[in-house]
This record gives sequence, C-alpha cells and structure tokens, in this order.
Amino acid sequence: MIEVSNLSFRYATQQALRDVTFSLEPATITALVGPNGAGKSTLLRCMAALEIPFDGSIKLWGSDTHEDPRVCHQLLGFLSDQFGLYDDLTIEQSLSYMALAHHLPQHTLRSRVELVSRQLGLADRMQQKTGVLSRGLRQRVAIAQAIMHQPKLLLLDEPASGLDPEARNELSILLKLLCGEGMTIVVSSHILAELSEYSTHMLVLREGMIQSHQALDNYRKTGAQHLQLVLSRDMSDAASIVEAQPGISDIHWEGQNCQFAFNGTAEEQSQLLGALVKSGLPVAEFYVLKRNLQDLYLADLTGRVP
Amino acid sequence: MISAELRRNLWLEVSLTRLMAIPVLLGLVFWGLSSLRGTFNPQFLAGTAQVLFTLVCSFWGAYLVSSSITEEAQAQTWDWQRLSSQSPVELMAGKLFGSTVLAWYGGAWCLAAYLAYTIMSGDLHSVSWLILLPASAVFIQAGSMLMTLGIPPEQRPEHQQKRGMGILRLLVIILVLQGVAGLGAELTGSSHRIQWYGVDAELLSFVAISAVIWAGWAVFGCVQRLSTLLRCPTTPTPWLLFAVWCSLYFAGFAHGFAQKIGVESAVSDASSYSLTVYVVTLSLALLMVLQEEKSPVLWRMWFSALHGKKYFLAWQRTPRWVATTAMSIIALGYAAKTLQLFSPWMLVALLLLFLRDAAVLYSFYWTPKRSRPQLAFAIYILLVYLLLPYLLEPLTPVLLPDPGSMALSISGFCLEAALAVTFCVYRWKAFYRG
Repeated sequence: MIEVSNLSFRYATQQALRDVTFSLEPATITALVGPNGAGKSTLLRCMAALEIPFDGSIKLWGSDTHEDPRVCHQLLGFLSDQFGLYDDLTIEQSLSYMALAHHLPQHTLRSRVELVSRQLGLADRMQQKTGVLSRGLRQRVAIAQAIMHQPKLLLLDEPASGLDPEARNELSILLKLLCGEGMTIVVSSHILAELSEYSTHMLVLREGMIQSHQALDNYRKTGAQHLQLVLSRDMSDAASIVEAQPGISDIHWEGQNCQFAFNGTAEEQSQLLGALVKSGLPVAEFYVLKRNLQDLYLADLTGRVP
Repeated sequence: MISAELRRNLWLEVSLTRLMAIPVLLGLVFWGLSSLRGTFNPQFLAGTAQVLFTLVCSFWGAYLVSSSITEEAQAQTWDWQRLSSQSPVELMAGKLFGSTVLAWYGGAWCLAAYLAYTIMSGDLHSVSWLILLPASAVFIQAGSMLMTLGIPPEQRPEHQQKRGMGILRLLVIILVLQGVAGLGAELTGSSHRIQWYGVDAELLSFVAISAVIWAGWAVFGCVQRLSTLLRCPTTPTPWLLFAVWCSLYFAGFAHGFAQKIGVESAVSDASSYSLTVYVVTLSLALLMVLQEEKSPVLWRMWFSALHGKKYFLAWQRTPRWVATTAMSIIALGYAAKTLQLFSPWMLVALLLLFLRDAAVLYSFYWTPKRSRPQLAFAIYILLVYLLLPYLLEPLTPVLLPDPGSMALSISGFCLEAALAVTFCVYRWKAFYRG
C-alpha cells in the first residue's frame, strides 16, 4: 500500500507540490498526468525517496521514505525521464551489475538476468554495448535495470518517450504483465492514448496539486457505467421516459443523443433497453461509453463531463 | 565477494592490452631516463621509481577517481547507485580502488623497482618509502574523491570541464602534505628529525606513519560522505572524532613552534594546546559551513526533532559545522583560562565573525531568487575583510579584530552577528511562507 499524505515540496524559487494526498492500491497501474511543470517528476522523485519533502510523508508498505529511505529503495524501482546508462558496458554487464548492486543471490543472478532480458526483448543483444543502442533499446535496458530486483513499486517517468509504436505496444504488454504479477506501477506520460491501454487509475496533477484521482473503466468492476442512447428522430416525451427508468442518473441530452449513468448488471442493462423500446422510444443505438483517458483528463482540466 | 561497483570498474578498466602496455611504457621510461644519464645507477632508478609512482598512482589515480564520480553525474547514472542496495563501504571501495586499478597496477611496478633497489642496497632506511608512497597515494586519491563528492551532482560536469581546477586541487593537496611533512623539521631546525609532544623522532618514519593514519581518515571520510549521499543514518560523532584527532595531531607541534618563535618560556603547554585545539576546530567548522548542504528543510527537520524531544534523531540531523563550533566554544573556554600571550577576547571576536559570516552565507543560499550564492559570498568576504577596512579606516575596529579597542570590536561583532542571524532567520521563515 502506498500512502502519500500532505506532501509539499519546494525548490529554491518555486513550490512544486502543495499538500498532495492520495493512496494507491497494490497491483494497479496509475497514470500520472498533468501539464508541463505540474510537479509529476518531483512527485515521482519524492516517492522514490530521492528528494526530501518540504512537508508531509510518503509511506510504502509502512516504511516512511524520509525516515527509512534505504528500506524504501529496496521496495521500489525508479526510471527517471533523464536516465543514463553505463555506455561502455554490454547489456549483459549492465543487467548483471544492477543485479549485484541489489545484492541478488549469486545462484539466482543469472536466471534473473536471462528472464528480464527476455521480458524486455533484449536476449539476442546481450553482448552489445549500451552506448551504441538506439533510444528505444536504451529505454528497454533502463526498464530492465529498474525491475531487476523485482520491486513492489515501479515508478516510471515518461517511459515511452522515444519509443516506436511497436516498442510502446511491448511496453504496454510488459506493464500489464508486471501488474498482473502484483507490482504497483505509476507511469507519468504525455501520451494519454497509450496510457489508456494499460492504466487502471488516473491521477491528475496541476500546479502541484491533485486535480483528480479516479479509477478508470478498465479497472472498475462494479458501480455505474456510462451509457449512450441515440434516437432516430425527435420525440417530445423522450426525456420523461428515460428519467422514469430505474437505476438511471446524471442524464445529459444533446439533440437526439442522450448520455446517462446506469447502475446495474448486464442483465438489467438488457431489461432497460427492452423497457425503452417498449415505451415507444425510436432507439437507433444503445451502448456502453468507453471513457477515453484523454477525454477524462481534458474533462478534469476544463471541468466538463466527459 | 567483489562488490558490484568494484566489478563494474574492473570490467571497464582492465583489459589484456592495458595490462601489457603499462609495464612496457614504464620500462621504456626507466630505460630512456637511464640512457640519458649514460650509466646505470641503482639510486637513480630508485628516485625515478618514486617519482613515477607519485605521478602514476597519486596524480593520475586522483584524476581517475575524480573523473569516475563526475562521470556518474554527467551520464546521469548516479540515481541508479543511490537506489541500489550497495553500502557506503562497497561504493567507496568500488570507486576508490576500482576506478584507480590501473594506476595501482602501474604503481605496483614502480614499487617493485624500488623494492629491488632496497634489497640490492640493503638500505633499510628506505623501507619507510614503501609505506609512505602507497599511503600518500591513498590519501591523495581519497582526498580527491572527497572533494568531488562535496560538489553537488548537478555542478560536477561543470567542474569537470574546468580541468585547471582539478590540477589546482591536487597542487593544494600536495602543498598541504608537504607542509605537514616539513613542519616538524622546520620547527626543530633539522631536516631529518621531528619533535612531536617533545619527543624527538626520525622525520621519514614519522611522516610515513602520519600518512597511513591520514589516509585512513580520508578513506573513512569518503565512507561518511557516501553515507550522507546514500541517505544512510549518520551522526556528527565521527566528524568530531576527526576534529579531536586533528587537534591532537597539530597540538603535538605547538611546543616546538613556541620554541621556534622564542615564546616557549612565556607560554605554558596547556595554553598552546588549547589554542591549537581552538584554531583547528574553528577551521574545521569553517570548512564544513562552506561544504555542507544548506537546505532550509534540513534545519526544519533538526528543529522538529529537537521539538519532539527525539534527541538521538536531533543529534543525527545536527549540521557538522554546528557540532564543531560547539567544540570550538569548549576549547575557547579552556583557552581563555590558560591563554597568556594575548587577550582571550581576540578568540571570542574570531568566533563572532565566524558566526556572522556563516549566517550571511546561509542568507545567500536562502534568497528566494538565488543565483551563485558562492560567488556572492566570495564578494562579501572581499568586501568586509579587504575593501571596507581600506575605505573606512576609522571603522576598522568594528570590521576587523583590533587588540587596541577590543571592547568596541566585540560590541560591533556581537551586533553584526545578531543582525546577520536575525536576517538569516527572516529568510528561513520567508522560504516557508513561500
């Protein structure tokens, strides 16, 4: 469990984070989004126990990043947006170095290096020096280094920048795999479409403050869904018919289009459709709205309903 | 088991070509220099070995260790090391002895040549060099490492570009070493004997033993510095032990110095020892106030631990310079009782000036839109210690300690220190107000 309480951070000339409070559930992927200068990188560095906060606390599974930074370092993996690699080492040496630096037992070292290199698609390049690799491959080596010691929390600052679409897809698959294995992941990125692929939660930062923190549809298993209803023609009492149905709330009409929240099972959703048709509504389309992360983010910034 | 950092450096530094090239190059230098002289002279060979060892192991080694740390910042790999499980000792060993492994390899060949000379000549006196040379190399390399670690990571690449700075730093180290080595000989008037706490010792052996102890402290200093950077819990105790060691070491020369300047009969041993302790601890406090991190957050954490009556935590968080200044004040109390040559108020004046300047330095760091606080402080020092006393001569007693009007000096310095501390506190509060 990760708990961030009243976190504030100040650089010499500006306040980067103000009273940030949130908690993360284990085995989730949180997309950390916000405009440039919102404090995303500072928040990640504070969570990685690399910066001492001005105020507040961060606890990783009960260990305070300020009081026990060394314990926290063993629990987490962090990849900065401006990471570096040892350019004169081969990929194999780089990964082995990281495994040794995390005191992995000698007997598991080789197998762990092999496993991680396979997961990141580096197995056939192990003897190449990292200095000659492309940006995308360097990124993969860096992620491999960050997960070498199987951290419980993985913090990635702009991990997809510089990756080609194929590599981004592979990263998405890897993150879902790691999350499935129980790892908690926080990813900061500007590429919202790609974050939608794998994120279970979204944390929006703006001017150092939390704008919103919510679970995304691909995580939410219960609770209200947003449905879209499209009519083939105008009908004067359509609004009253919809409002009369049970389990419906938050209704918005735009011409013949109606969006609303519906709290019910798939079976109840089917019954709702039947009831609407039976009431004489000319239903042309009826479907669950998949809320795009970008829409949610923009809605958070502008304050409108997505 | 070899630590990760040591192994990484071995991967980077060691190759068969290099292992073969170094003895060949050194051999060529020996052969070339001998050829220039025309005759083979074992003593010349020994001298060449000493010089080459110093160049290869001390100078090149110091450069290598400094570069290895600077390159971490340049290549942005320092975070990986901070996040790893490596202990400060592992990192120190890896960086200090790993990055310099080739320098030590070359140095070993030079020492082997020197050892051959010692055996051939049967000159047991020169055995001390076999201790002094490696110990001084460790001291210089560790000193270089400490200085580089003292530079904030974001500024290290900038310093690396200033190659002249590196050479200057090394020259300073050499001068300090030479000063320490030659001090006793100078004091006793003989170049081969030294007096320490009144004991007459052979100079070379004394310097060799001193070098071993100083090298040990320098290595320990690196471990302490890395502990701070890796955020391992540390206390000021090791630093204070170092201050005690420095005081004891230099106080050993005080008696000889009093003899040298002809005031032996007017100054008691207690007086000269306490004065030395005061000067040494205040100098170390000055060093630390310049070098320590000056984040307002660290001070807040210190006060919060004190407020919460968590005294051990507060001790861990105590800035080193504050602890050392406390030690100076104790030494000042003792010196005030025993001082005979001049007024103890002179020492009080120095302490007040130090506190004033420390507060001003912190104020520069805590300025909302700070830029180049070190430069601002250097200009301030030039201003208050050189320009103002020159321009405002009648005000000299309140600018520099004046034995003729000590009461005025002390009053002036008290007021200046109080104003500086008040301003510093104001800056600190302003920082928190945002």
